[in-house]
Amino acid sequence: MANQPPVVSFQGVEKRYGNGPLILDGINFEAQRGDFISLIGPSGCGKSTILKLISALSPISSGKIIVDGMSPEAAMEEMFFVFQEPTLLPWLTVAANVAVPMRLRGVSQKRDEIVAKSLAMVGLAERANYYPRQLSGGQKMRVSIARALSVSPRILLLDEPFGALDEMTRDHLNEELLSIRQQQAWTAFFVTHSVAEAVFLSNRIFVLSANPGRLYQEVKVDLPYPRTEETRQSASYQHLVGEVSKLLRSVERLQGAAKTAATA
Amino acid sequence: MKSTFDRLLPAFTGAGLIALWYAARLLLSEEQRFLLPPPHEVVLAFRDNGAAIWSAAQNTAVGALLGFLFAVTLSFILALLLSLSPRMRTGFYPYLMVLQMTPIVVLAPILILWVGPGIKSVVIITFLICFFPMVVNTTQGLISTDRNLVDFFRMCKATKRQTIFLLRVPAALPYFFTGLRIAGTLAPIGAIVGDFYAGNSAGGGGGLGFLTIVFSAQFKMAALFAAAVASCAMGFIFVGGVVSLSWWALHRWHDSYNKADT
Repeated sequence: MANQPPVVSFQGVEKRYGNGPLILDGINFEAQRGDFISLIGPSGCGKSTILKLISALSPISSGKIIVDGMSPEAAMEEMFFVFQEPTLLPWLTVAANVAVPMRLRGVSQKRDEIVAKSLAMVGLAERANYYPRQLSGGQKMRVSIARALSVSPRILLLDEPFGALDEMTRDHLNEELLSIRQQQAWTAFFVTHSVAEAVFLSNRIFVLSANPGRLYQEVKVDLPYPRTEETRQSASYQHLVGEVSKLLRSVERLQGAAKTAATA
Repeated sequence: MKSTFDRLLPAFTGAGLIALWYAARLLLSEEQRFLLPPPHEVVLAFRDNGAAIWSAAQNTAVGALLGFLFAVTLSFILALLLSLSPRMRTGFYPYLMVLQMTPIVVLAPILILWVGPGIKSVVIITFLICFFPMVVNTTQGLISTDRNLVDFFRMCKATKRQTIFLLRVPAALPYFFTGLRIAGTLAPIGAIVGDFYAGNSAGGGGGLGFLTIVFSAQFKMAALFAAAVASCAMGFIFVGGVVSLSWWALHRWHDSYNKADT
């Protein structure tokens, strides 16, 4: 695995919007195939921006990004974005929503079969003919994930997808996400504000600092997969949650000190 | 759940108003009473002038429908163009406002001189009244598409045409139907106003607007009231049609029709 070229590589990436302040400064990392990387940090540290840069939804200001040996624009079909909101088309049924990426990318073969399989993966096969407004928040998010899975992406970009859900639903969906990952081996980038969620899902956690966003530290999570409720009870899990929380606090302290220095 | 009394309340109110109508007549002097014909005389006026009212209503309906359909079609095309170019919006909007702000009663004589009296003028006047709310609402809908949905379409490598017709247009439907409801209310009014000024040769006999001029000149008060009732009924039919269309297009998915049916 170590000899394989990285799936995503950031080389001195900087980002600013127009003439505004620097949002990301000197971001360097390499993601290997099968990595589940969580991005965590204070608000405004550029977590979501990193996902937008990988997916070519936003251009970089300087530096270089290589995705699967290509530019992000060229690699667009390799990846899929799951937004913070479910972003479903309310006028289409659940099944039709899942079929949208295939329809837009011109995939017509076995479309119904793939839709049914993707919905079965997220446990919503029986809701295929429902409209989004007939679903709960958690179910809508599942449809959004099924839609992403329908195009079998090699890279999945998830921007705080479970942020608006209650803790029980979120824990459940985290477990589901990992079990789906066992069937479809994508590389994942996952933005979250929850330390517990980041530790549970990832094998690598990037802790970012803000103003401008920098990669503060990487934490390796060596908990074995599959992860279950028992993982959450384990001492090593609890220890890692404590460690990442401590890192986040030091990032915040650093930010507070910088703010005081700026106002002094 | 509404009680029986609540359900019958509009009927009670209607009966009360009719009673009040009869009572109001008693307050008028003998000479003035012809100004307020009693409801039963209005009903009789329908019987006596039924053919004229029916024919006029048909002419007005044709004018209203054609003006409305032209307004819907052309406003949709213009809204699509405006939504694609902010520069075009900046250029066009002031003139759309000018069109809206100019009273139709001022424009009507100009139009009659340009295209002559009759159905053509009626259709143009109806079109002018309906056009503005349709353009403004549809454009607003087309430019208000959720940013994340647009990004989602970009991620899926959607073409510009796909983004417009599979995303922006369906997302704009609630706005479009808001405009359509306003235009649906205005269309019969526009046609009757148009008729009033230009309807003397529309379809040979003129529309309801023209008929009111005739009845007024003949001091046929009950018939005037009957024409007013027919105009009102036409308005209800128009709005009812638009509301039904809106329900058909939106009820399955739009929150405005949400009745906790999960």
